Amino acid sequence: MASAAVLEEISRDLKIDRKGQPLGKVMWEKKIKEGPGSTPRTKHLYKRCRWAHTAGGEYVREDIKISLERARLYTEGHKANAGELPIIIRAKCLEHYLKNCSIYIQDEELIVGSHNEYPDKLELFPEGGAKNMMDYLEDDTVTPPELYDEGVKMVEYWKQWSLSSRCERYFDPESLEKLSTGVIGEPPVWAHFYTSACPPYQSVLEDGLEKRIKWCEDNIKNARDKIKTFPWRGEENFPLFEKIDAWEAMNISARAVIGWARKYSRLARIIAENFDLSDSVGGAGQRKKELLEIADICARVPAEPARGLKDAMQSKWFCFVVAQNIERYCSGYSQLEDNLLWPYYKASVIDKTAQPMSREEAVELIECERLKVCERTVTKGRWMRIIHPGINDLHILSLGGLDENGNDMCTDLTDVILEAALNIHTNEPSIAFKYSPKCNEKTRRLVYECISQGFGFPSIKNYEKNFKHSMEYHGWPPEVAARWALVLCMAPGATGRRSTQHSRNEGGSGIVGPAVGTMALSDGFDAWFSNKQCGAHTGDASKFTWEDLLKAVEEQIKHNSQLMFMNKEITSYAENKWLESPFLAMMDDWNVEEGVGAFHRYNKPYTNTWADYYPGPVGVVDDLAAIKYWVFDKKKYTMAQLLEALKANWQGYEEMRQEFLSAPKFGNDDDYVDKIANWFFNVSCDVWAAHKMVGWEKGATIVPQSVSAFVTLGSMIGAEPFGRRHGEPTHDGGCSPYMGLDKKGPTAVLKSVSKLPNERIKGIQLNQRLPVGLMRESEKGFDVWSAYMKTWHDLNCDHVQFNVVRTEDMRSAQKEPEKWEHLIVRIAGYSARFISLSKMAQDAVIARTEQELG
Amino acid sequence: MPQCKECKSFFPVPENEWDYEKGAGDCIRELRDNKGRYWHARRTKDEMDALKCTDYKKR
Repeated sequence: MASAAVLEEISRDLKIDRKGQPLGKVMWEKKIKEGPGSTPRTKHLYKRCRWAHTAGGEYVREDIKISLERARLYTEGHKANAGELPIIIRAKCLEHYLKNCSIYIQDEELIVGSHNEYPDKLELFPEGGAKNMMDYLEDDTVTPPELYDEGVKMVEYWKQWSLSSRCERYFDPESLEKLSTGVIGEPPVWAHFYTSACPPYQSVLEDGLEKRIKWCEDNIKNARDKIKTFPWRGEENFPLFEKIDAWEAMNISARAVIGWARKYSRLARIIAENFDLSDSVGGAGQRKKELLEIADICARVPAEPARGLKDAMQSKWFCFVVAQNIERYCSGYSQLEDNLLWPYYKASVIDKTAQPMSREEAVELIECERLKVCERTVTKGRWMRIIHPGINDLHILSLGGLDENGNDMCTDLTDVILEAALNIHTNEPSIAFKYSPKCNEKTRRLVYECISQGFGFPSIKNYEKNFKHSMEYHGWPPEVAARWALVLCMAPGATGRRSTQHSRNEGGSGIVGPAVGTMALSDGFDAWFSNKQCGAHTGDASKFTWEDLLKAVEEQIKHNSQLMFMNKEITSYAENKWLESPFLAMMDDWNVEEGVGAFHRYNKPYTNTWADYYPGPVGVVDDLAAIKYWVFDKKKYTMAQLLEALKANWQGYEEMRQEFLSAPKFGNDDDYVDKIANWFFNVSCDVWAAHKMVGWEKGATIVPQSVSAFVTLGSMIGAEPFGRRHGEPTHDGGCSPYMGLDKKGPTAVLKSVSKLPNERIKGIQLNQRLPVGLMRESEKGFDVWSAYMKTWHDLNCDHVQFNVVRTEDMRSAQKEPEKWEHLIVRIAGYSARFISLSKMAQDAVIARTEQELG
Repeated sequence: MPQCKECKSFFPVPENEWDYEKGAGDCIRELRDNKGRYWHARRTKDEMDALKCTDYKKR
């Protein structure tokens, strides 16, 4: 039973007078009436937030335009240092940029620091390659005409130096063409310059950069002493030259970051002392005091260790801006935030020993952080923007879980972060909760309240299952395996001080799940989008036996994954050699100890080699089940007849389509199809494990999920045997039943999911939709949801996330979007503003089965 | 010919700063758009020609 005391405590913290009504209902009504934000400052910042998300691949606000400041300064830096070693060039480009870039501070901000010339500006990365840069330059909705010629000249300059040129040389034309279609997998990092990272913030918060600079200096001195030692030892000394270069690059970068942070200190002080602040929300005196405190903080961090929560938040933000926005663009906001910031929260809010502040002030600071994330402008490639509608990036932080001894790691800060999310009502950053029944009730209740508000987050990851998987499949020690945080949507990565994931080429990227099925039926030819041979030649499917069909699917998995892993490792090699991130390396203890760049992976202690299926591959399972049922068991149709119907996109074959739709479907606890699912996922795990990426002999692990690709890639995936037409959405999530085809209730869904080889899978996404009446408007909601979560946990499922939104609200939002700006829905690995989704994506969310609980 | 150093928006970079160079300064202006106001700092040089600068304001 839910504890009344816990509910009262949460209501008090949130300053909600329930008057006997369900908390969720009162919060929803309060938000509609008063708007988001717990303080006048965050209310103001929410109202003027510079949302930077995209829809249909386009930025939703017309004010968002490109700037060439970063590209210009990096080009200057490169030209001035072109004869230097690659890692030194990268450090000097960063130094040149940080010394000469523009900076700004917005009104009422408590956390400062940005990566762009002006607010609302997009900065470009010409060193990635021509394709993405030209896509932006050619788009006159974001590129002012006066910047076009200069941009094109930069593209020309970087042609020989870019990551694209470094990678393309290793591909044969056929592989290059297949990869570039986007039909069988994510286009290469070097084509759309989309990557991701988990910066090890903890080292900088604890040490400060000055201490780490001294560490590098000592390492350089020791290396120099070593090479002077008699007698000469070439095998030991040769590697030291490269290490000396790496440490020098790290120090150039770190000194530049300290200097850049102090530019903010200078600006804050000048604003405080020279400008009229009388129309500030808290008055001129208050704002002046805040700006002088910001000046003090930016003078000290990240150079020095953080003392309290304000230092820690600012230091973390500066590191994020540099490592993921300036040095190069990286998606994500990966961190175990409550664990990372807990010492500083404790010092400021509980012990009051450093930067003392109230709990309410801490909530406000987290609200400010959430708004800051929403303003981050991102220039990932169009393919990526298209599959991420409604957000500006995959910003996902993690909370909760247990330590390696099984103790609850949730703290009051965990609750503060969740309360801030409830208050400010932004869809970014999303939150993943590391669920264990041992997590305390108050935190679990707050998780529930966020879900009941319709945020779609926290998404729930099974702490124990992922703890075990991280030890058994990645070999991480228990204290590391316990402190995982999601890299992006679904996959755990190491946090802490050392050996975190630095590149998408280590963990990330993916192949299109449904394509391994459709290609098996077309001898690998894509007749629906590219009109090219994208998959493997696996023969004429009209003559297939059931065994031939399974073999063809397996061959397509092998073929497509081979291309993906080859591409990942080629890009990894090239980024380590030519496009290093020395500041990110400086943040990581292992890289500093070893004197290696951020993308070096040989002998890395905690490797994280994984890759996705996305969209998820359950469509293949339903396809195979439908074929087995009607062609090989019932023998009502032949393979040739089926292929004809698919070629016609089921047009003229509606009766047949209905029969294939009626075949057993995944998600109904039906062994007929669930056994096929088990076979398919086991084969996929085998194939993934067979790919041995650098640094990990056990092979890669698999993460089936979908982001929004289940809708946007519908146009690339041909008609499917389970009854889907070309262009329609595919299965969402990694193991979600097809919308509307799970007919036996939520427990049947969980039972089907539990029959997958979950212990072998790193992460697999399950989307569920629950009724508003129960979750938000009933006193029983928490108990019923807790019982569902117990079943989910007992069945060792990996993940689940919930949409709690009324169909009639979504229909109203389609008709009058201007009235529904606040409506958030869960797409896949992230939550999006409903009104920014395409009509098809909106309809797909509406069509999801609403499960009845209780 | 007006120069940056004569402008109200010019703030010289102090000698003890990392980005100090002889003559370097910050051009700091309060700007407003439809999302509110912010203070912007752009690197400049004291003897930079400000003749064409529309924001030039003599001290």
